[in-house]
Amino acid sequence: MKLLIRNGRVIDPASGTDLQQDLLVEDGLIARSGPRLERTVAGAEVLDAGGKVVCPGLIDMHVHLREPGHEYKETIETGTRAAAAGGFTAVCCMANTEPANDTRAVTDYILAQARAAGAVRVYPIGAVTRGLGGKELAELAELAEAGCVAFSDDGRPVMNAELYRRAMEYTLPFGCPVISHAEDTNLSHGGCMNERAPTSIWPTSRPPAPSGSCGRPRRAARG
Amino acid sequence: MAWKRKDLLGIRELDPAEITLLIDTAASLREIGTREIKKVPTLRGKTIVNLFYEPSTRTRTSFEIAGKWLSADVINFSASTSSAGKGETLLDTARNIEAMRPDVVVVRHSSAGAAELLARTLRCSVVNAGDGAHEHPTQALLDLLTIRERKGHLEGLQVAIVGDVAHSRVARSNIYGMRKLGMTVTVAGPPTLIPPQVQELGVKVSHRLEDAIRDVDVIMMLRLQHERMSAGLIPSLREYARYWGLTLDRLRASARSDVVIMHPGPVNRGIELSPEVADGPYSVILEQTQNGVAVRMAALFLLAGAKASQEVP
Repeated sequence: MKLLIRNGRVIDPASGTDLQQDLLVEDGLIARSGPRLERTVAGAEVLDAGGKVVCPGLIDMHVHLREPGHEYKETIETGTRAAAAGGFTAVCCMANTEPANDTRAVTDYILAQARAAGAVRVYPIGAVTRGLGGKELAELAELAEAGCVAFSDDGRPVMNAELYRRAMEYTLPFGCPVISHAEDTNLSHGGCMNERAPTSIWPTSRPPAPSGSCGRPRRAARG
Repeated sequence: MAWKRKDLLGIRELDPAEITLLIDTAASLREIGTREIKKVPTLRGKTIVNLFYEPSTRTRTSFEIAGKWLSADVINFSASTSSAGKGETLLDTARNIEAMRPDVVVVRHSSAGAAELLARTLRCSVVNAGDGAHEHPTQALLDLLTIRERKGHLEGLQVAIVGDVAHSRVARSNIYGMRKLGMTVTVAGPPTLIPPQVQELGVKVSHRLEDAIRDVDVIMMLRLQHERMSAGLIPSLREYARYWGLTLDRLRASARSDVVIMHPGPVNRGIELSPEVADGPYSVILEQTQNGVAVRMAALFLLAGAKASQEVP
């Protein structure tokens, strides 16, 4: 099966390509690229990409597929279809499902659902701590073995700096980064605006501004 | 050579000849334990005090038996039944004990440097029976003796020390001793249990059990303390056992068929060692305990008795 993508702006950062040209796809693989390929190619389905960008599939490093547990918001099927529609061919899904992706059984479930119903590749992100509770490490080695590509408690950042350090140390051999949602919840208190004049007008809004700056030393700690 | 030191505080400060002297002396004294009458008069009239501030079964018992086989009078102080429970400091307790004129004080304490502090203060000999995560010299000596018996020599052997190296005085004393005697050491465990820059002690580091135990002559498994979990150093005992527990399958898949398995005890069965391995043909755990008495006889003999008679009884 042949597919000819015509007239798009072909961008490939890996090879430094940024050209107005055609792309021939045969059996799912790029066979050729160049200007005006329709002159030499016969029997191909033609897709006009005029005014559009043709590029390798995008990867979204931070999505919430909500399954298991919150299927009324999103499922692996609907989330990955939305990703595909937006040009994303792979997504990394955060661990704040119900139950959280803190054990191999949940990772296995996510990957099984992705194989069965996923429209794009799904790379699960494991929880750093059990139940995203910030108290004990999740079984990080087993999560990595099961297929988690990174670890994060996302919006429930690990507030115990020592535990966070241990998580970074423990996961070093797996080559999986620990992703920090750089917020100190002791400072932010669920605040939603910078600490400026309006916080004196609406004093219930606590200041998130200084809390975000805690990300820098945390990243540095990985060394 | 003759033994010249007042104390036995650690392996780090010993030179290879001193280590070898201790092991050789232990090897020749061990025969006493096989006699019908397990007693020689070598340390008759000498007093040995076991001063233990941490729980211990085999080390304290081993020192006690060693002293008694050499005819010394052995007195046990344990923190729970002594004045330490009333708030007396280590030095005060030790000075009071010294006033009763012991010849050797054997001390175990949770603080690194406790034995050295006593040694500087007391005129009598001091043996370190474990000070925090610092050193446990007689354990390393009994391990070296056990390995030498099994393998016939020490130089050139390859050893993997697996588990909680960061908190292990057994690992440290063994690393010093093994490196001094020309052995190659790899330490292995999750990064949270391996001390930073441990390579400076002359060891290699591995974070995968299968890699660490490949082609080694000796595997030394360390005890995993349960409190490492609450400290956030490992996620769970289950995960630890799964990746760091030495099972028969893992042993057969990755290790040599003539490998020797050691453990300083007490063993967490099913955690760092599966029962089949702990009780199996590769295990020399009970030989270690047996050699422990011999090594402690050697230490007591060289510190308290060698002046009277250089001959091994």
